[in-house]
Amino acid sequence: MWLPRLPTDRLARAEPRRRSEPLATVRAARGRLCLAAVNGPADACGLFPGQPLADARALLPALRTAPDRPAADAALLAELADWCGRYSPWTSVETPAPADMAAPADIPPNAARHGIWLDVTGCAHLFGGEAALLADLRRRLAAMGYAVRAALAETPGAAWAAARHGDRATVLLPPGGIEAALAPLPLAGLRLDADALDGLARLGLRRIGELAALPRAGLARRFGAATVARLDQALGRAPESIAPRRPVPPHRARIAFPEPVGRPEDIARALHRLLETLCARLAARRRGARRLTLTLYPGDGAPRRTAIGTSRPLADPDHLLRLFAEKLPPLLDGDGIDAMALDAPFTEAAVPRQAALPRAGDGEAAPAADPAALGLLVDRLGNRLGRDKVVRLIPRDSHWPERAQTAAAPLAAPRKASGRTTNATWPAAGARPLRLLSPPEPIEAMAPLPDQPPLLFRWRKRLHRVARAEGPERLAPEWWRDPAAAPPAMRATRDYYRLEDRDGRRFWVFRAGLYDRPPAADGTGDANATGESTATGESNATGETSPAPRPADAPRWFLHGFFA
Amino acid sequence: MPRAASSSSLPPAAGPLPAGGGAGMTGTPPAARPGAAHSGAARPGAGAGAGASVGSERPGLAGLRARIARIEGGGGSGGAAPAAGRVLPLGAPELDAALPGGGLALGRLHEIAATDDGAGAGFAAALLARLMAARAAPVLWCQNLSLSANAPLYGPGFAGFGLAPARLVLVLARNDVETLWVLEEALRCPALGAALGEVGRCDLTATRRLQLAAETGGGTAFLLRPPGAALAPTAAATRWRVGALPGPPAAGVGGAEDARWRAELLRCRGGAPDEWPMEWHHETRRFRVAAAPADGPAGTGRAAPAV
Repeated sequence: MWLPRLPTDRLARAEPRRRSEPLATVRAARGRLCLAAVNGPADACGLFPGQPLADARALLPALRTAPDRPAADAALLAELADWCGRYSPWTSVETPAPADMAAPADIPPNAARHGIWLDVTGCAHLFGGEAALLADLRRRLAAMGYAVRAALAETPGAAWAAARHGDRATVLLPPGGIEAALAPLPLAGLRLDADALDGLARLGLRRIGELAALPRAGLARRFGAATVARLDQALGRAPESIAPRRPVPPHRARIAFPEPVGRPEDIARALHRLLETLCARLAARRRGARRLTLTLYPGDGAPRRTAIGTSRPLADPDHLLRLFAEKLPPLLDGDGIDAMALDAPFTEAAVPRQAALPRAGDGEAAPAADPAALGLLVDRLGNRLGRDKVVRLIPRDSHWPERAQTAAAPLAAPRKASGRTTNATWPAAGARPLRLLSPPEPIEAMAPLPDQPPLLFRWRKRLHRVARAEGPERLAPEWWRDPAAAPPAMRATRDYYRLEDRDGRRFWVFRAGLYDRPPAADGTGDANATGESTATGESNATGETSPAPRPADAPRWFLHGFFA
Repeated sequence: MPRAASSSSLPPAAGPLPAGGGAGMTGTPPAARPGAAHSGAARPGAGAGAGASVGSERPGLAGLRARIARIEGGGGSGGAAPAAGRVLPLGAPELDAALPGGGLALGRLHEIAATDDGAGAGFAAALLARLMAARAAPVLWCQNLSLSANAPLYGPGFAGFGLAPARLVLVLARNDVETLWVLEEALRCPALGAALGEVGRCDLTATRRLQLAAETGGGTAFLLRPPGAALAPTAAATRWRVGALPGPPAAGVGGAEDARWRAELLRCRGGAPDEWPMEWHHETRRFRVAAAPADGPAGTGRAAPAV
């Protein structure tokens, strides 16, 4: 499919009233301004791309010009390729030949630009046949204001040639008739480089048919293997592979409406039908969707996409429809929708699970009660809040408080990253707080003697007098973990105390570092901070109102959690 | 949309009750029951007159309460005084006697106002642990990051309360609005036993929605209000205020026996306000009324370290 006047069509769409006036885009090439693209009226007056602007003005003083914007054209082309996803999931933008990229100052031949590939294998019957598909494509694009030439053939090369050089705007090459159909077309339809074309022209060769009739060995020798390869690709003797723009999802269901549809209820009903189709297909292969992408194709404009994820492989249309319910409304303002497609880019084998036998007192088992209802809830919450916001806490083999728990997917079986079932367990009752401050907050604490719990401490400007205390519980850091990841005070040995203040509040506090060897504040690590400590007397002297400067090696206390 | 449908029925219908539903346990004379139910259904505003006629037959207070409960209570569940299978006994006779039906009503909204972070979380965790043990269903805890972003739940502590973190779905919401949405969604889900949300500000309408959602799904709703939250009127069946309680000087701190609170029942539909010093026993997962409320700090101000 080829859009011969894309740059000027892009401009004309912004100003529909002036569509009939001659218009050209201009760009500097070889030291002067040249036309890069012309619209229909300008073409009719004899202007052509590559013509110097001065010549064009001489021919047509009324010519309007605009700067050539290749980036905008490319973006529009990509958008159109997405739009073409309504016909086939396999679309690709034709990339310019490397030579054009190397010398952007030159005006590339118009035929080499602004093409879109569509692989409609197996899609045409959805539109009433190949001819109807082509007609529909052309009609819709024309209604949007784009001149388009499209051809459908068995090989990409033949379609390319027929689209550029065919005698009609839409050409349908009959199966098996490529050679005959291409024979009268000019050699330029073979995507050859300029040198090869020149050489062939000097030999008096004009048509593809003439070239195809020549002996191949001589051709390859005189004009290079590329020429022969292009000919073979066009005629279907050699394969040609083109990478699609987006990965083609393995599972897709689509629906097209005869009239644009805008009512949310209708869209939802259509979506339900799509889900039923897709889920039936997935179920037949014993797979379930983990991720679904819905694409809505409005009559005019860019497709709108949304995606949902699920917590486990699913093939339940009602469940999936409820997940989409949150996502649909923002997509529905604007024009009516005239086609929808539903893709499942990520599926997993869905093995029907045997219902677990209830075991008495099995508190650690994964949730067994009605997993379908719970799964729906988890998916709904996860799709709105974010997948990482709906979790379950699982224990981790670590005595370091911050590392003792980790978050897991709420419905997954308890597993480690390595895939082994975790065997970590939770500590005994009462030993750990209910809430853990992260990070621990520094407090000013006063302890009468080394290795004794503090008598009072100040946290967030409030003084707490300790009524009862328990401890210490000494926890050494995990030296085998990355030591530079935490600040020095956070990777020192800790003495934890459980404190209760006079009001009955219960706290979990710790002193960072050993009493006579507090962690250095400058990041050199606690191994260097040796020597005799005089912190005991000084911290007693500073007393309750101690915003006074502390000695650098005074013990540092932190509040880390709250007990019930 | 189910949401629209349920909110249209928002004024709780004092409507037709299932015959005998909920009236049996309150001790209302059988003769008075149909009449009371009928007048309540027809003209809720004329309740006082009908109530007086019922009260003239018997001591009457219970009958009156039952009628008020029926008028106030939600549509399908049969009154605020719930049937015996629809309550969660707290395990302490003194507490259960003060609650209508002998425990905390399931499928209702309960509000816990914490005066202290640890105490509120602990009391809520204890309630959820009891509920999890009774119903064998997972529960959901919606943490509100605008209130407690730097003090996340700590699984080891929760596990100590008997609240298996494996069956606790933890949701992190950004603010009150999201928390209320999560709660409503969760309560509509029949697979969950209970849903708790940390909510700073909420109004009567929001709590009514939660109440309706809880009736739909059958789960029990808990609102955990942070210290200092403004306690506007809500549709909650009970409202608790939970604060720290100093323990006896001899006991350890934060040990297995040592979760205790001063729990005030500020408001209770169908019951009277009260206040208890309360203890939680980790092993049996029961509440207890603490033996002797410790008055003030221990004499010396500090006990010797126990370990």
